[in-house]
Formats: sequence, C-alpha cells, structure tokens
Amino acid sequence: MEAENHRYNQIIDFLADAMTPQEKDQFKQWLNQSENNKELFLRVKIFWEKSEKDAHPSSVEAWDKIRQTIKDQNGDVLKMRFIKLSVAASLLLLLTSGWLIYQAKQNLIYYATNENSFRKDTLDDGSIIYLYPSSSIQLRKDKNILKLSGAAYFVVPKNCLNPLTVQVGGTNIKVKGTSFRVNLGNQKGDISLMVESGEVEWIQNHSHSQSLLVHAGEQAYFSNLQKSSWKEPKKEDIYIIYQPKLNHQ
Amino acid sequence: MKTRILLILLFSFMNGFPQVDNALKRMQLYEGSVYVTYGHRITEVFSELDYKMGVGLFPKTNIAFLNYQQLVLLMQDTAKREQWSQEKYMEARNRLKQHAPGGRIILYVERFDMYQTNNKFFFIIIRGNDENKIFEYQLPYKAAELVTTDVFSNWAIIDVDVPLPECFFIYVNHKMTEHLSDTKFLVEQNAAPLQKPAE
Repeated sequence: MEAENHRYNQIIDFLADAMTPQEKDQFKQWLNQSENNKELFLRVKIFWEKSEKDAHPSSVEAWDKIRQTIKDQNGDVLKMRFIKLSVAASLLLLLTSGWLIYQAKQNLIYYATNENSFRKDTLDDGSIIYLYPSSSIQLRKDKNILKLSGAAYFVVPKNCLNPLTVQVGGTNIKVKGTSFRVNLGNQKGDISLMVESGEVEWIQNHSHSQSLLVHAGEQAYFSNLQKSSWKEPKKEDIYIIYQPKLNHQ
Repeated sequence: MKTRILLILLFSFMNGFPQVDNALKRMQLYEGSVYVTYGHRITEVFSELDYKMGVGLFPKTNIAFLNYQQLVLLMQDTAKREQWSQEKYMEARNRLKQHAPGGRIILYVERFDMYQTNNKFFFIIIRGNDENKIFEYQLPYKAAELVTTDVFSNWAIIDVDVPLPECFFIYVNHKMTEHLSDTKFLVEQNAAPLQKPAE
C-alpha cells in the first residue's frame, strides 16, 4: 500500500512538473516498464486534469460562487413559500365560495313554467303560489323576498315579523296576509295587481316614499312608461269599453 | 273543413263558476262595439241582427272567451276550494287538455221566437286572420228559456278542441236566416286595455 501511494505521488509530481530531470528519467523508465504502469499513469492523469479544472483560481471567485449559491437557495425558498401561500389562499377561497354557494342554494327556491303549464307550490310558511304559464319565481328564504317574472296568484298568511316581499318589474309588493294576483303583463313592463282578500303595500323602487295600499276588491296598475301607479275598484270580468252610436231605424 | 264534434262539457269544476256571467247577459252589442271578457278584447265586426228599436226589441248575440290557461286556473281554484283528490284533479285536467286546448266560448243569445231560439239552429265557425277555417261547431238541441213574455234566451258553452292563434274571428250563424254569416267577432287574446282612467 505504501509503495502504491508512493507511485501516486510520483505521478502527481510528474504531472505537476515538480521533479528534477534525474527523477523524471527514472519515472519515464518506470512508465515504460509495463502496460499496467501506463494504465495507472493515465488514470491518475485524468483525475489530475479534472481536479485542476474544478480548482478555484482565487478566493474572491470562490466567495462569489458561494454567495451566488446562497442567493439561489434563498430565491428558491421564497418561491416555495409564495406557492404554498397561493395554494392555501386558493383552497380557502374555494372552500368559502363553496360554502356560500351551498348556503345560497339552501336559501334559494326557483320555480318556472313553460308556455303551456301551470304550477302550484306551497312554501314552508303555508303560502300557496299558483304560477301562470311562461312565469318564474325565485325565493330568498332567509330574507323572505320573492322575485317574480310573469304572472302568479298568491295566497299568503300574515307574518308581522318577516312579511313576504314580492319584487316584480322594478317594484316591491309587501304582503300583509292576503290573496292577490300579479301580472307583469306586457313588454312595456306594465304591471297589474288584483287583491282578493287582505291588503298589500305596493312600493315603487325609484321613489321609495311613494307607496300604494291596495285593499281587497281593488285592482291597481303600474305604468312603466309614466312611472306611476293607481288603483280602482275591481272591474267585472266582462265590460264594454266602446259602444258605437246607433242610427235609429 | 271537417266538422268537429264537441261535447258541451259541464265539468264538475264549473261549480261555483257562473256559466253565463250576468254582465254577458246584460250587454247590448252593436256593430263596432268593443268589450272585454276575462282579459280578452272582443270587437263585434258586423251583425245582421234586426233591431226593432221602435218597439224596443233588441236581439242579442253575445260571446265571451276564456283561454286554456284561464280554464286551468278556474279548475285549480275549484280544486283548491273543494279539496279535490289528486285523481279527480288529473281527470279534470286531462279532459281540459283533450277537449279545450283552444279555450272556451260562452254564447248567450236573445231572440223573439221561441222555436228559433233553440240552440240547434246555431252553429259557430272560427277563422284565423287569413279567414281560413280553424274550427266549426254545430250546437245541439237545447230549448229556449223565457226572459220576458216576448224575449227568449239560450246559452251554450263550447270547448274548442284545437289551439287558437292570438287573434281570430268567431262567426255565430243561424240556419234560418238568409245571411251567409249573421254575426262576426274579432277576438284578441290578452288585449284588455291597461290605461290610466281619466281624472
């Protein structure tokens, strides 16, 4: 083992040009003695050249290299932290949104009819809704607000603490225990309201102070064009609106 | 062109619904009269009725119209009030679907001849805007009722078993007259005026 180490040292001295001419001649004689020696020399030479290439020429460059490595490592750490936070925030957002959607769905009821069908529904509080063709309602149970599109007939029990509000065509109908029929009749956005029993308060959104109290046996109208509402006694189902003058025969 | 055979169906859900509204009986219509029945605007386009004003005799041919949706609502109201079973409700609903998808015409007539006021002399034709025939119905025998000593009346409920357009014409004809058509009405569905009354 000692002899082998000695040979290694000699090869390294040769490669590092650290031999006297006499030692060099002796080393070359040894090298030419066998193929094994040449092979050993080549292996050490390869290792030596590689070591020389990796060696740092100066301490300044070495420090620079060390600093750069530390900087890269810090950058990776920050990047990892950012990714982790992003993932956590996304998960939180997803969970919150899911919870909100779930809650909203729990509190939301939606019914609709096509052009040839009617629908009758009974709500938790015992209210009955008859939905006319091509109509829909959307009920927020938590706020007791019902959005109506089309026409419907309501029979609603009295609820002083949390009265039902029907939103239709930009107006609000506050229900005070009653049965009534609402019709968002035409494309102009005109609304007709007919109260059969009890009373309702009809509030226009754009002028909240103006409200109309419609009692049983009255029907009320809201003109979207004039932005005004009025009421009149309920008309008969059959009535003449124009009668021509007669020529006596 | 085929004459459609219809039944005058007095459904059980008609209980409580006045078969002929008193307002329909009271109305005296002339050519050009415009009136509203159940939200539908009806115009009497022409009439060949012979008004004997000198002696105060005014014959009447008055019609009212209910569309299919209104019939279903009426049925639902009755079902609610009378607490029908699901079976009874479905039976009535199916009958409506089958016999009255076009709605219902209520006819009220007053004449001065008892024999000629029998329903068997009346027939109804419905035509579209293009005057193509959509529906025809021959009223069955039903004897006249006495209104006063000189005036006789009759009425009928006619279910229309074909879907109808938004606007259509109803001809109410009498077999014993010399006219091709006796009374023509224009029906405009859901066209009741929504106007602020004059102050």
